[in-house]
Amino acid sequence: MKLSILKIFSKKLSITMMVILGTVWHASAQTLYTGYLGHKTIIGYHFITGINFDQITSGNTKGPAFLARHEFIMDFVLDRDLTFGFESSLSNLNFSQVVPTYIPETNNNLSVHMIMYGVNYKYFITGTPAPVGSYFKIKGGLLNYYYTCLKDNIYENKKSQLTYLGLGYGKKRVFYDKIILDLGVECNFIFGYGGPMFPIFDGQKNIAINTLTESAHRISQDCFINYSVGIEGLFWK
Amino acid sequence: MKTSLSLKCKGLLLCLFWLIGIEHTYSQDFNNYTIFRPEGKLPLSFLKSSIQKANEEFNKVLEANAKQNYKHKKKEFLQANNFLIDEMLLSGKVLFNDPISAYVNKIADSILKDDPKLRSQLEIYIVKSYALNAFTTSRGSIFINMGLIARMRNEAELAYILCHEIIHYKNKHVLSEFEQAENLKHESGLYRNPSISEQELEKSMYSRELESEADVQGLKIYLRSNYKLSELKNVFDILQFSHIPFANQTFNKSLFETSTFKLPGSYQLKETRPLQAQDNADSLSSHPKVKLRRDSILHLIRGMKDNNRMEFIVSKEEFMKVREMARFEITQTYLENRKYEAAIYNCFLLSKDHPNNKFLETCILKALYGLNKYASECPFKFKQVLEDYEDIQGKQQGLYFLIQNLDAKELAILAANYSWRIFKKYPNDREIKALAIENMRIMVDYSVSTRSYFSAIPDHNTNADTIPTSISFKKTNNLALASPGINLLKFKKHKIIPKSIALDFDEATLKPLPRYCKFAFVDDVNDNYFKYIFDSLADGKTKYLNDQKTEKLTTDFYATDDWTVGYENTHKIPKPLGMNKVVFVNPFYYKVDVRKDIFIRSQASEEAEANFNTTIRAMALACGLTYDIIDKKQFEANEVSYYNDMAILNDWMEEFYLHGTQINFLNYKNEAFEKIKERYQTKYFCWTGFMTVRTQNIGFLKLVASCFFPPLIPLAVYKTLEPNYTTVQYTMVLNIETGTLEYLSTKEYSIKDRNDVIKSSLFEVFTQIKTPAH
Repeated sequence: MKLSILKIFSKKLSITMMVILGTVWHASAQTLYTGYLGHKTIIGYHFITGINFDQITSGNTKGPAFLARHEFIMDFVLDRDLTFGFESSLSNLNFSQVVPTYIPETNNNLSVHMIMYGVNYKYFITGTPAPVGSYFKIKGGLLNYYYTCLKDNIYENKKSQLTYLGLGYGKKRVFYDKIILDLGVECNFIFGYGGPMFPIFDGQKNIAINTLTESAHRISQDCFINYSVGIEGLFWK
Repeated sequence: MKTSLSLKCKGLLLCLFWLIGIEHTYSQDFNNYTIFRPEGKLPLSFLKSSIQKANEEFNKVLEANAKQNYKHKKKEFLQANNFLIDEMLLSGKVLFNDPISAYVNKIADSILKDDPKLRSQLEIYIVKSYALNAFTTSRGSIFINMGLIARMRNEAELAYILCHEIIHYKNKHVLSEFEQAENLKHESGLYRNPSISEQELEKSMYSRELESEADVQGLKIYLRSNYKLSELKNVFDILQFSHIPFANQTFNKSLFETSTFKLPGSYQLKETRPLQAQDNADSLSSHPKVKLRRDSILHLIRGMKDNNRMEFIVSKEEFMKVREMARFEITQTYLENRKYEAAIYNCFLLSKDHPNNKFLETCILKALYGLNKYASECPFKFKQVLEDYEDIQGKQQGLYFLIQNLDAKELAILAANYSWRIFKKYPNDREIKALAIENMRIMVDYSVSTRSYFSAIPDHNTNADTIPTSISFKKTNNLALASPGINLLKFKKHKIIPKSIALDFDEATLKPLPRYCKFAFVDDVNDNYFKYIFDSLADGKTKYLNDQKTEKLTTDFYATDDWTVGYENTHKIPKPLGMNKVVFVNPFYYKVDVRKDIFIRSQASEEAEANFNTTIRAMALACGLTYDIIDKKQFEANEVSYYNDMAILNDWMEEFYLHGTQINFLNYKNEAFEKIKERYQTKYFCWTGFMTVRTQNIGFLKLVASCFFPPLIPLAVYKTLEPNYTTVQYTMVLNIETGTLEYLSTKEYSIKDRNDVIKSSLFEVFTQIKTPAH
């Protein structure tokens, strides 16, 4: 039942993406909006790091947690002050497992891979033609976890999928008419009620496995403030 | 013998050249007067950068006294001062190599013949302005308005004005005032902490002291010359009556009348308001009361006699010519500033000595066109150009009374009548022809659209004022009888009839035109050409107008001044404009920091302006737009023709800007514009520029707020440190062929004027300009 909901959601997402792509093509063909000196396509890499001051997350009692993520983006200038883009990010975390409830000892050499892919809209608020200036961003997509964990002293590879919705604010500045420096801050809300079990990590290489419902609640209530710095290139007039 | 003959020939040739030069300089023929345009080479001060001038001036200040107070601020002040002076100097409103400034310079030579060093530091310029004013800058440039010269009665009066201004420079009053203001700001002590209003009061008191000093010490220079002392009183009289024209003569409505077209006697004001001296110096005024100034000067010269002193030292004849020229020139400035009634009265006064003068008649025609256009097509703005006759003093009041008493429909007939007369007099003048047809069109559209309304038989009824006559209106305008010039159909269409207009409507449908209007074209109504023009206009045929490259312009009654043109109205979607070549006139770039006392960042502005030209070139190339740039800061000494083009275009643009976008004025400078069009091979001229303003950052509050959510602290810190900027780009494209505004936008960005912002913004505008229209 849960999987079928996800499948339906995926289908909807595909249809949405097709519609958006059509919009992009139409916008680039019809409009007088120029992007940056005629360049309307942006491809780039962002390094994202998150800080979590909430020490309760995952039962960790140590200091603030950090997470590094590598994101690849492709944006299209849709309108004078609007861009539409695809994003895909990857993060990898090695961790040791601490499950006080079930297993008293710590297990090392475990890892989690997180792959996010989704779409975003950036609305440029400074009045400058996109993609120059400050913007607000709204984003959404899917979040896949691939992780190994220990259950009954056996390492298991597991996969789980969630959805996320994010809001962000950033600034773009163009250098040499080709390169964009992007600085931003974003905040992702992750929705996973009813999804499969997944680990919660805090960046301190500790992980706790909680019950499904508890984990989902924990993540959804806990939003990471992520800071990002990105280098992007302008392509195709 | 041979040598002496050769020498004689050379001498003769030199004399001839000299005579030709004199003839060239003072050959202004008032019968065929044309607006003066500078010739020769641009003066050196037009070619130097403001910063260079400011630095030279600052070095001089340091040479005089190395221990300067507020050294850094003084340098900034001088930079800003020079920057602003240059903005005016290069605006096209300042004359050079002209007979007026040449003459005024001769007076200065005569006054300062004993002080050649001081004389060499002074530059005298004439400003094209009707206002009575003269001022001096810290670097020794004296600017005298044409309006002041037009009012002078003799050379001695002008000499005293110069003496006064020379003292402002000699005693460095501009810098003294700055120092005084700084002192006030930094004053401290138990009982000293002046509020802003106290500071303003003290500044104006000090400014008045300096004016008095200039009066008194200027008198000393004046006394060393041989000018008449008795003329000094008159100088102050002129200042006290600065609000009146150069003469006070009863306005005669016969200016607008013919043998058959007579305005009712009730339109002639029986008694005009007497002239009253204006001396309203309040506590914050920078000048003392004129009466006090006059009394103090008269006190100083008491007992002195005018033995052998003269009214004219340089030349009386030259003075008369120069003054007349100034009086002719200010007519144009009245027109450009929409002072139509003042322009008519000025022409009326001048026509006493210059009857049947084409220039004056054309100026009256232009002024009537302006009034007519506002009254009929933009009645809501008519008040902007119409002065209340009750506020006017002197015999000129009669003209203001007449214009105010005319209904818009009567004004349309009067303007058409006058235009037609002038057109018949100068049938080959294209400018007059275009204006005449436009006035006729307004009459047909808003007043009388049936030719048969006009009588071909002169009026024999002496009681013309009271007997109304019926008129018929064009079907589309049959409701246009309402408030003057208002097309009520547009109200009906929008189903909104303002209460006041609705009342006018009921009243107006019953109100016919006064009888005298019927006899406006007695001699012309059966004339074939008149018939052709009238009927073409009445039938709504625009073929004739199109042939003349003028457009039949319509004005949306409801449109307010919309300062974005070139966009689809509904969603402000940019429209492609399809212009292949554009000439950029005076691209500007101002950097302002409102947190500082001297908020113009002159050095940064000048540097940015130089870079801005490079960016314009790069972006135009990137868009494939062919371009030319007329840049006031890039002129070479021999590029006076470009300077003149810039002056013509700037004057026109400023006039255009005053009219606003709601009213489309006929471009009546066609002749000059055709030359410009030919020279630059385009009809599109663009004014563009950026202004960036740095304001106080209130990021500290964000930092405080972020303490409630610590993850946002880094962002709040960034926001606190980030300077606050607003950048504005202004672009206006005018079509000099049709006189229409093709594109206008003001884009405001809440971001610093970074290179990518400027480029991106320019590219966007240029793409719109270049992209072919659908």
